[in-house]
Amino acid sequence: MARPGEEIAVGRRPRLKGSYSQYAGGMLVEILAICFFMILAFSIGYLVLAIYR
Amino acid sequence: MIIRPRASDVKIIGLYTGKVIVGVGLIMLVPLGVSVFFGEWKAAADFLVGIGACFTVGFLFQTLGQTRRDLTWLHGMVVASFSWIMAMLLGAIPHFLSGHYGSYLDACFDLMSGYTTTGLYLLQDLDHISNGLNMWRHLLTYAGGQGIIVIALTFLVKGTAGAFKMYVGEGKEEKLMPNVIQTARAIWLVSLAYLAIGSIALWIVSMWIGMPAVRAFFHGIWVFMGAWSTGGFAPQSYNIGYYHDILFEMVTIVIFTIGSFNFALHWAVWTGDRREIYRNIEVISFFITLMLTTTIAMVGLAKAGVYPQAVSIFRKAFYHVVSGHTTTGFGTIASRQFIVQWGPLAMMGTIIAMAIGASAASTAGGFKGLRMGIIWKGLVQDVKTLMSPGSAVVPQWFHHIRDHLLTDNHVRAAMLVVLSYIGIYATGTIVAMYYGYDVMSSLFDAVSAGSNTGLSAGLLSPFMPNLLKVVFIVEMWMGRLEFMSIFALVGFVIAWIRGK
Repeated sequence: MARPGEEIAVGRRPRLKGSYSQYAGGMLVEILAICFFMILAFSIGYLVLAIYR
Repeated sequence: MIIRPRASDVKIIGLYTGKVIVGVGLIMLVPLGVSVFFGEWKAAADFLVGIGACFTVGFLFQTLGQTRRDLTWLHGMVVASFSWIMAMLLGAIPHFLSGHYGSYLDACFDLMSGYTTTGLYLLQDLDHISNGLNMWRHLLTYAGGQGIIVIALTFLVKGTAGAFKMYVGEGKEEKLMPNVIQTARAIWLVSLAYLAIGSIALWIVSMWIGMPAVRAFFHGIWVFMGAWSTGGFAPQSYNIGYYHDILFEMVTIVIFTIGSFNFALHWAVWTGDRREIYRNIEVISFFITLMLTTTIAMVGLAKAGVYPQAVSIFRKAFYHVVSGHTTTGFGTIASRQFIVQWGPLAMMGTIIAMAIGASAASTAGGFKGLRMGIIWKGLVQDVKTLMSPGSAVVPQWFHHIRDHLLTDNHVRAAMLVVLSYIGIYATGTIVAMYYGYDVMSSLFDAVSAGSNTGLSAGLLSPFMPNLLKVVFIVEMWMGRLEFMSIFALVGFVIAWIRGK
């Protein structure tokens, strides 16, 4: 018997939210965001160096 | 009057610490398997001794700690901090038995560095250690990145109201789902999915640059673990400079930057809220401070005239600043080059990046982008209030998974943690300077240890004073657990000794 405050499972074991295709899409968004940022950082960095020099 | 803890308080702490220790023993089965695969029987014997010690101590703690009480907040906090100490002491056994350490303290240093995803090491002759030991080094940093309490919650602890208290004690405050054990499983789902994708990517790149398939496979896994956990361990002493390949560097940047994101952010993006990636205050704060610190480092390098071409300056500055900002600690230059070639300005850019660190509830260390964002918003709110009529109320909002109204409590909590970090950075720097190290090396390595980064300016060596090693161990431990659970452990010990 569950004690006060204890989390108990009712019915089936709860599943994680979302589907595998949704997870894969999220992963792709994260990877593309970092790639985009690297290109952006390179552009800004190159500009800063051009101005400094 | 201080009240002495009861026997049942000690028992429940022992019970859950025992479960975590058994978890550490179970993780050691993986490097044991690798040692057997490569026929490294000496290393296999070392791991058997380590596993035996973990199981003996873990089951003994659980047997002696049998109780029907539930964890309170104090228990959860003490379990979190005490477990990390026990995991360090017992996990160091295979390290010490390998013969690559000058003392047990050095082995403990590397264990704490691994669990806390720091990446500093005192191991001698890294290029000639067994594959089993290499697997253990990287696995413990991967496990430490998710949190050893998270491992215990995922595999060893059944649903209990106290689980969340241990989880918070490990420096993570965000529940991805209402149930904390489901949260722990979601964290593992994200980490294991990236483990598969990232290791395969690095395996292919390693073969592309000429490594044999089996060696490339293990290097792929190990470097992934060092990158994803923002740990910074690598299988070779030249670290990422060993691979000498720009594609390899770019793949590692993608992995450790994603690894430094908040697990709540991952989960939001993975479950459909794609816009969170550019709306989240931590992401915005991270990219702004990253660009500022990269600029400082680039200007420093251009001034020093070390690298002749703009592309080389960007490549070196960006890699080390991102590595420092995400608190990874991967590098493509030798430690002493920071002092003798980079100079103080470029080093300062890297130090600031390391001190700030990446996201809360991630594998990273440092102040965290969330706190930097909150403090900045607090500053903006104060300036707006000053410029408004006396009776005006100036609300300030920030977005982290959902919109939050900024309160004084947010700013106060953020400032307290930032001040605590500055305290440990200063302590490490002063102790290093006491032993005669120069200011820049002392500051660089102390911030690196306290923010769990792992870059070094050459101060770190097996021959450094033992007290400094202990100070760095404490810095790494405090930086990773974010202070509260360690203060709770200290308070518990004082209450036990002086309480009535």
